[in-house]
Amino acid sequence: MIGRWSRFWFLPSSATDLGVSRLCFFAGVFAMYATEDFSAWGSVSDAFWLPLPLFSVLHLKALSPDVLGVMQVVWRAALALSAVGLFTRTSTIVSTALGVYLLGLPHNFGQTYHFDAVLVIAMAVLACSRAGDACSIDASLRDGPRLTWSSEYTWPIRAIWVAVALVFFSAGLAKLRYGGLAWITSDNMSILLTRALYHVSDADPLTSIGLWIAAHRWLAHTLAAAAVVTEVAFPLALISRSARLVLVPAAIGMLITIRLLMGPTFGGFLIVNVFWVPWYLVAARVETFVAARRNAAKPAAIDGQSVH
Amino acid sequence: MSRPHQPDISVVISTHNRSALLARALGALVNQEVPPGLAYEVVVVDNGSTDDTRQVVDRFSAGAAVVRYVHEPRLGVSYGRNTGIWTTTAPLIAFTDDDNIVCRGWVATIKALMDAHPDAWAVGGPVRAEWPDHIPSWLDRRHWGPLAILDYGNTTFYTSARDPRCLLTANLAFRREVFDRIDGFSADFPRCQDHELLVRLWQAGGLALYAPALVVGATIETERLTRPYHRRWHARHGRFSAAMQSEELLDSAGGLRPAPLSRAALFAVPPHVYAELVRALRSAAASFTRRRSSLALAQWYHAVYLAAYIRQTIAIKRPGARQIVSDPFRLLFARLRYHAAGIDLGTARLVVIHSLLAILIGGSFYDIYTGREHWPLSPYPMFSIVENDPSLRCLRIVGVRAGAGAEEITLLDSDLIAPFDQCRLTSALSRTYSDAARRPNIHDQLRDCLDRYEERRRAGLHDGAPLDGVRLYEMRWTLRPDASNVAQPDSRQLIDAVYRSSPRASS
Repeated sequence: MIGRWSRFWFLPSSATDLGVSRLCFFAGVFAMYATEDFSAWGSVSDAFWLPLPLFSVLHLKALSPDVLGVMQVVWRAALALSAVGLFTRTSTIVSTALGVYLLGLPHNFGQTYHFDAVLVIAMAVLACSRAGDACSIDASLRDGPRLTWSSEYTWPIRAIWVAVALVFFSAGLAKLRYGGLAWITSDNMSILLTRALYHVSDADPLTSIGLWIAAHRWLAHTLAAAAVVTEVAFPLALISRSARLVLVPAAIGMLITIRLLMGPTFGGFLIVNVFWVPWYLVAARVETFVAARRNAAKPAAIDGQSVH
Repeated sequence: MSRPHQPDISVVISTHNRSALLARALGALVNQEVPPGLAYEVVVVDNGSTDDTRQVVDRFSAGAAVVRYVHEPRLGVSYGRNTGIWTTTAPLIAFTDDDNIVCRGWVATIKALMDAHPDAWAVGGPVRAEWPDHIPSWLDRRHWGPLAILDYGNTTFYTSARDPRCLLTANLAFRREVFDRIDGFSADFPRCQDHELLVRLWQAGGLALYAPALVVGATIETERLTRPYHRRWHARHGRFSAAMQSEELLDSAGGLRPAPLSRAALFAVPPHVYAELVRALRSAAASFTRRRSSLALAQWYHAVYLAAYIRQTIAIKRPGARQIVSDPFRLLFARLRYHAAGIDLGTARLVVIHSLLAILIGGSFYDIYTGREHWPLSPYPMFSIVENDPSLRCLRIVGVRAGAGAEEITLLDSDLIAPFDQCRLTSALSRTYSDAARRPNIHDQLRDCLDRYEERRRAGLHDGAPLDGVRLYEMRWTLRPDASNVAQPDSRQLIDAVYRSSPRASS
């Protein structure tokens, strides 16, 4: 048991996996929040204030719009630096600290969304990791021998996997716990799909195909079953490569389907999926492909002389 | 047999109140077939006997053989054997017990083996049972330990630190200098003293030869064929093994560990002992269910041994409160390091990482179990309730246009009510409305919505119409398959309204 636990978290892996994931992740977060204005929350009335446990324990309040404006500029700069890997340790810590505050702030006004929680967890994990050892400016400026394979590059990725798996698993478990199999077999999904058209979410559905699916009950039941199975089975992706190949695309598909048919936007969840990609293998294949193209482009030579 | 001043071999028997058995043992010893020139003596150490041991020894002393009587008042076989060692002068000292019958060539075989194997510090051999008439069906080879029977087969081999198989003092001989080097039997071990001595011998780099030709018979008394006896023997063996730390002495390959012993321990006991105990209990249960009673019993006795070992180790080492708290963590990290050969993290780093993981995983499971939310950990209960009612009831905020006959406009666009979106705003209003203590805040919340709408409009951040006020309705829709009634709720009830002209709350 301890052996499996140890191997899962600490079997040495490539610095490339963590480095590329860091780059993609922070770039994705930067792009996602590039236009978000958090400063407006500083002007919302205290009548809405209903602090999260985290904000309550830390006695955090909504700061003034001006201060929030400065904070979000610093946060975006930290995200950009984290992405390119300059002053990586400092920038990831700043990204996390300000990210916890800025992303958590909107949830203190009466409604907690879950879309961004996994981003905060991922940022915290990366801040504690050696994510800047590859694919970073820091790494290219550093002298001396570089560590390419280490346990240090494994556990952060696994921790984020587990965080994602817990999100899906707990969502599936909640459905079975509070709704039971009726969540699948009743008209529940049809009603949810129809209700989504009545402006009940943070965003409206991108298509009204949900109404067509709702009208075909067997299709709605199938959709509900697929969602529950994907969510409940998702922890298998942690331990089985085959399950990962099925469940991760299935979960991504589910998030996109939710956005299309029901409205809620899970951009954060989509971004953290970069950690599932074996970048080391991707890089190796790209290198092989490029080398093959180069060789093909060279004129063929016989006995050291060009045929041309 | 001649009576030389310096015998080649001294045979030591320590005895306590078993004169009848002793007579048989001495009978075999004085009738040895020895080659010319080989001299031996038999030293009987009377370990505080109150029976006729002295008379039995005297009877044999009167014969041709050299049989000496030595008295040792301190009870304990270690005292008896040590007295025997130090009262003899022979270069070879052989041990047997009062309930053993040595074979006729036993003394000569010892001498021949010692001469043929000068690197052997000791020689021993099989101890074969002389069974009584009735043997219980469960008592197979696996249960020979408590009967002091030993048979490693027909191959001669050395036992050593790498192969520390135990030999029995019922059939064991040493060179005298061994005792000068590692001292005699430990008086701290009334039992297992032969094993303890051999461990010291092996640790000093010595070899002990197992020779199948060196045979001794053991009389098996019927009281040693009962289950209670075997259970007590294993428990006792566990206690003495704990005193010897025998479970810590062996490495995973079965060899003796070089000192110092491993520090990894759970409450002063090596963790593998707990694991072994669990395995033994599990195996015993499995064997019992498969009706393999002898095997089940052997595994159960092994568990008894291990439980006694654990209990005695804790009693001896008495772990303190700090050790009790720290041991599980130290053990965890030791096991992590052991299992992950490639792990290249320091202990402090491992602690930080596992603390992070504990917060992440523990916190998430706590939220899943309790259904409570602690952002960024949370149970994600969205859409988990089964919806059976094809209707929708929710709060909606609408604007009242200024100077347009109080025309109402929906405020769905998040630009209008930023930083809220429609869902976040109506959820916040619903939570306030459903909480009697916070319900008075609704008015201030609506005022805030109106002010921010107008402020943003004046700043050019949206192009909505100027508003005179906002109203909060509870609306109800019957869902239609084509959602064609989105703009026409079945009913609506005014909850509250705020107008620019209405007075502000004092707060």
